[in-house]
Amino acid sequence: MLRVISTVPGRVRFKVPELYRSRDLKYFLETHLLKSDTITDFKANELTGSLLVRFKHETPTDRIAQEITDLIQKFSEENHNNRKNGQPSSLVKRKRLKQEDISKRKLRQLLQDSGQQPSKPWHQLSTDEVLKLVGSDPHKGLPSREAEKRLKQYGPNILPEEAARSSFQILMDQFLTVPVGLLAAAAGLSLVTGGVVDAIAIMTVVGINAVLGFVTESQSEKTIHSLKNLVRPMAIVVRDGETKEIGAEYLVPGDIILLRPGHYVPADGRIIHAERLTIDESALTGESVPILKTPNPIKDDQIPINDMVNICFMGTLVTGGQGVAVVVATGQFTEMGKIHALIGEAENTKTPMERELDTLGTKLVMASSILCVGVFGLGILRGNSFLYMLKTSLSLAVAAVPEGLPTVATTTLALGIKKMRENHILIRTMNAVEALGAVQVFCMDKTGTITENRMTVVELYTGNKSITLKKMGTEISISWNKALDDPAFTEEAATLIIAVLCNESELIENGETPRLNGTPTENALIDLAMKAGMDIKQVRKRFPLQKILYRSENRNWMASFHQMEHNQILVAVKGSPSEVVQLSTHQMIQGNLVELNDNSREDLLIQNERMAKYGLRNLATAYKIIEGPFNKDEADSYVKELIFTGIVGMADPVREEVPRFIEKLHRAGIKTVMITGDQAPTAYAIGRSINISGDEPLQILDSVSFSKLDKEARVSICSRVHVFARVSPANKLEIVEALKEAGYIVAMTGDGVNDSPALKAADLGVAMGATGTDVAREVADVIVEDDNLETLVMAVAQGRTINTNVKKSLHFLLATNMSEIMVSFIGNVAGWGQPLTEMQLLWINLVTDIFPGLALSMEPEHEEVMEKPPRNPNAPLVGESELKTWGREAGVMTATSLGAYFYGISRYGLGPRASTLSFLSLTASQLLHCLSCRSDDTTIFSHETLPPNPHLNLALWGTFALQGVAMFIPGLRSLLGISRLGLLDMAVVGAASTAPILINEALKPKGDKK
Amino acid sequence: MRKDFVFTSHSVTDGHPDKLCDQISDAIVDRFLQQDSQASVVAECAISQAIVFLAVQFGANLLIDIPNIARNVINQVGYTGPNFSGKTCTALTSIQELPLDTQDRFDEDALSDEEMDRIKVRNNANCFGFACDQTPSLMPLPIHLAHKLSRALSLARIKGTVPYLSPDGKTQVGVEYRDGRPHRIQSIVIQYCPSEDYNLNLSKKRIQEELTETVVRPAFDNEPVAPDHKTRIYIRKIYYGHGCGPTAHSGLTGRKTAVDTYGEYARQSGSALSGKDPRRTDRIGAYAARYAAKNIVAAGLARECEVQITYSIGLSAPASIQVETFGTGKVEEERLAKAIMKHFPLRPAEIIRKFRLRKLPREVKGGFYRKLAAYGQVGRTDIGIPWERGDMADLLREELL
Repeated sequence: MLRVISTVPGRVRFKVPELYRSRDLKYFLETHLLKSDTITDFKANELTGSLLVRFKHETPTDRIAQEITDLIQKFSEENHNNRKNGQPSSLVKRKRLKQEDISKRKLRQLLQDSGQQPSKPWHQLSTDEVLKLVGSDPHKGLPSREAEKRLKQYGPNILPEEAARSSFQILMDQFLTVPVGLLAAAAGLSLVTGGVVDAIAIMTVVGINAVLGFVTESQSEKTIHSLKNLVRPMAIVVRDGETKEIGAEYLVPGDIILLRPGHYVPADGRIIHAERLTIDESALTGESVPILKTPNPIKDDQIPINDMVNICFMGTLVTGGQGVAVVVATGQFTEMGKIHALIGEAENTKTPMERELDTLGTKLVMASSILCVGVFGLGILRGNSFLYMLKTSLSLAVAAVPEGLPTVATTTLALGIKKMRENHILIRTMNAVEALGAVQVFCMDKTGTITENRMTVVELYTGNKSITLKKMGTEISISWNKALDDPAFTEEAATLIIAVLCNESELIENGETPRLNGTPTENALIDLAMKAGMDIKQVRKRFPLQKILYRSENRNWMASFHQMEHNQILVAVKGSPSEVVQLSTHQMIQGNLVELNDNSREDLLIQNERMAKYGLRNLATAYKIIEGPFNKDEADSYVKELIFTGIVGMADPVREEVPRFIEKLHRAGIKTVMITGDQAPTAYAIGRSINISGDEPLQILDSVSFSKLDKEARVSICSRVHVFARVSPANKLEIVEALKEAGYIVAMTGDGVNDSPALKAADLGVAMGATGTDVAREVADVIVEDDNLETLVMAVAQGRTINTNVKKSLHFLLATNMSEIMVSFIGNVAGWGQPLTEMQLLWINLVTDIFPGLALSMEPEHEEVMEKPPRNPNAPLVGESELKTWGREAGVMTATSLGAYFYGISRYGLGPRASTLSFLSLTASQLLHCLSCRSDDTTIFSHETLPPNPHLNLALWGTFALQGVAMFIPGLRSLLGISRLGLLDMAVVGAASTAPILINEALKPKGDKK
Repeated sequence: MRKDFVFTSHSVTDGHPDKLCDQISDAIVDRFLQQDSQASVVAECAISQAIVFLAVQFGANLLIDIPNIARNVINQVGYTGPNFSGKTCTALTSIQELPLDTQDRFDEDALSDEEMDRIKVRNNANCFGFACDQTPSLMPLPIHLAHKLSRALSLARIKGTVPYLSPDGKTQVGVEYRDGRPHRIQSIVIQYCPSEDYNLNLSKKRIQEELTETVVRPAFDNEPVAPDHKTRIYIRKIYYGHGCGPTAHSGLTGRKTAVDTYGEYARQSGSALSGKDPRRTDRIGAYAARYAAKNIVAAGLARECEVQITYSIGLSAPASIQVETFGTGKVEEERLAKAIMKHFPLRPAEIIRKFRLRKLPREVKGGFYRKLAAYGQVGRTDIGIPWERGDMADLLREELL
């Protein structure tokens, strides 16, 4: 039952045994006490079972006690009832809204119809003023009817989503390319002129292409969207005087929300009550240290978000304490909503390859049209019939356009996406694959990407010697049994014991892995102690907590008082080193107490400075043993003449795989850049430890007003910088844009909401899967599911392979098409009849061009792909030198094919036999040319072997087989105009087919081999 | 023997971009030495358009916040406006860490004579020192007066007497000499830049009067040679086009070596003095040479004296010393040179020890080298500079006269 511990006018402290370790009762008391007229403030601590109540002076203490006793009674009744009915004994009534949950579409509709939310300087107003302005009651909350009305007026608390592409849209996108346009026109013309078969053949190809593209793209869109969090964010709100849990999308300005640790803040709110409420705002500001919140108004009007300590922001995480807030902004009017809007402003980009393939397609179309017209005109002039020439020139046009091209590009990219998915890389768009292969600069956010975003103790300074902890504390070996009997056993033991006792983090052990619930700093200390072998529960039980003196404005340390044997009290102190040192008179060195003088104090402070310089956050520990009993109200008077035990230095550790990752990127010719909010020396220390500048001296840009710089200065500076320090979220976008202006292909990693605009603007936006936020994942092009950076290297290798494979396919397709054009053109122009009939041309194109081309695009990764710098994005995929080489190769194939033709003419005269010879020679030499296209560097004569490409083997054999089939099935044979061949003829074909590959391989330009 | 001529020297305020860079470089040197007295550091600084470029090579067992130092200096010098201030400027820092060279890490106080001989000079260098009896501080008059004027200009701004000045300013003084002695002031030029944060609606004439009163007059208080009615005094506004200081014209460490030393009246080395740690002979040699020259003149052994020391790589003692007294010497120049060799610190380790060059940054509040970086590195009497002490004068006098 209730017991009064201490009382002064207007304030009483009770001991409530029922409160001990009952979070539920604590919440219950809080919500109900809020409504009381007599009680003005209260603090319930379930760890100690004490309840501190402030009330109006006139009220007698007994009445307060009675009020509370009644509440406790009510609670236990409710609990009992709930348990009887099988419900969980939780007081938070999970009452969903009476009406049916509004569907997503209706929510979007509500959003569209909603009006503006007034923006006011909420932080400057007092809590009463705020409550009055939003028209809300802090104890009762909004009445449900009013809430409904406001929902219609202000719209639901959701952010406008990016609508996914519909299936129809995806299908249509497949058809909107120029080559397909031309083919469709050709098919149309064929149809009109009676070439039904031709038209069907052409449209089949287009169809296959479209289907392939549609399937792969819709598949990836589905995957990405399945990533989105399907869990609805919930909020604890007070409405109609009752506490309930509702979907966060129903919040409106004026709602009273309760903030609890471990929950996300569901909307922007002005804090009206806070009990050591701390919130982690890193998703919004990048600052991973939680901020202590207060209900007091702030005078300054223009202050940054970081300093608004009386406002809680949507999307941030409550890490400690508790509080009550009144919602002042929802949906797109919250800070997060505003950032979301910025995303809409940053432009999307087209990758180089896409652009180039587009231009190539157009150029080819133009070239083939000109050819078409030319041949047509020439033919007419020669006196050939209109229809005949039309057919001929059409087939020439079809020959000129590599139909396989769109298919190849799409299939390659789609296959790449699939392969990367198997390796835990999720690709959002096909373009991301290209961007991966072309990336030249990799920008990395420090917190979360380079570091683990987790405080860890990395150095322990005790007894005048420093221990660096690489393996998280396992280097410390302490015989804990001895230590517990005598805390002065060693200074390491003492430091750890103090760190664990003077610590509010809870160790939650349900299930296998224990979880820590508390601030990052305090968690790190417990973590360290655990790794050093301490049994936390045992230690805390051994020294039961009597009182805690918290940190405050003028007091940068925390003290806790613990019961020891023989009626002694252990005073454990931890806090800012400079202050703890001042409070100490002795230091523990090697288990002995040594007196501190000015010099030794100065030494300790220098150590502190040394550790701080490397970016460590330091805490010092000290203790004292006093004779009990002690007066709890005078607790602070005991904290002096302490024994100093040590300094603990904590840092956010660098991920282990980062230096290796950076080295691989450097070897692949990719520049690495780190972006961080740290100060310059910390940024330097980290940058150096991961070797981010490679061989060059480390360049750091430290700037607060980057945007004010001249654009040219920005661009030229950006391209030389390795580390951007003191960067704010808005700067990230500027940095990415400056690098792009400097001509680089930029990849950017990020995981917070504030990274989204930069992620979208980068050529390649990379988000971490597990630790990233929804918004970042939605906007990024690539998501690394397992948060492992090395997978990214693999993705870049894959991207580059895909790029080169597309080039190889292009090589094959263009060279072979050129040979077809040359053969037909020369034949026609020179008046040597038709070396290739239209059906033969179509056959070559449709049958022999697609599958080998496709197989080439599935060429496996060659070893040196990550040992070379990325290809120059300004250099075209198909440039002058390529055209020359490929032209030459095509020429050789043309020559031998025409050679066979002439042999045919000389032996059989103009006619089907001759054209059969040229047809078969050309087809076979094209198929063999495929092998040559596998690599630009190795030839069939060189000793190096390439990794096997089973698809290519299949394609080659398959196509040869198809050729053979065509030669023997009567129907097909007559369609293609193939006639019987004699042995000598076969020999000629054989020679004419193999000669080109031998010649071309011999002439292959040899690149530098390092 | 110098006859009749006019000689002009110039000085700048501490807000001039070149001098600002010198101060930033030396503040970085101070910071390193404060914490690791055996550190080696070379700090170069360039400023243009509100961008500060810092290139620092160092070998020390600590890290310092380099951009922060630059920002502090900029703020302290007086640039706190919206266009350019310590807080808002952008700093591009290029850092190269050198391995700790055990050769350079020595405790000069603990070395014996032989050990000092082992600390060698790392590069050839010419070092010049000068002194003359034209002023009580034994400096040439033109530079002495130019410094007084630029200090007065800066002081007028700091005190608030002339609030519309920006920290950027330049002064020039032309002195007419007769028979080698200062005769009169031929010209005075004061170039000021009005701060953009100030709405200035005073007439040019009014400004000139004000500056004459607050800058020129106090500078010539107690000066035997003062302006007369024929002295050409020009007080002009520098018009750069936009703003003052680094936003208007750029700055670079080591471009005001004449202002640092003798105002071009005497020979000087082409190397810059600021931004270098005490292991650099081209810096400390200049101080050692001045020390020698000053004591010679203080001892009355000459009216004008130039000491030239040549250091050669691989040796610890100088390769040669020359003393030039321009005909005013009471004793042969060779004897003076020998006396210097015998009594004065000339080896690098000796100079560092004698002048406590590595310890001063810690002992002087607010840094030591930083203060040298504006208004002269030699010939100053406002701060206690070791090489300006005339404590060897008696010894020289006894020995040579």
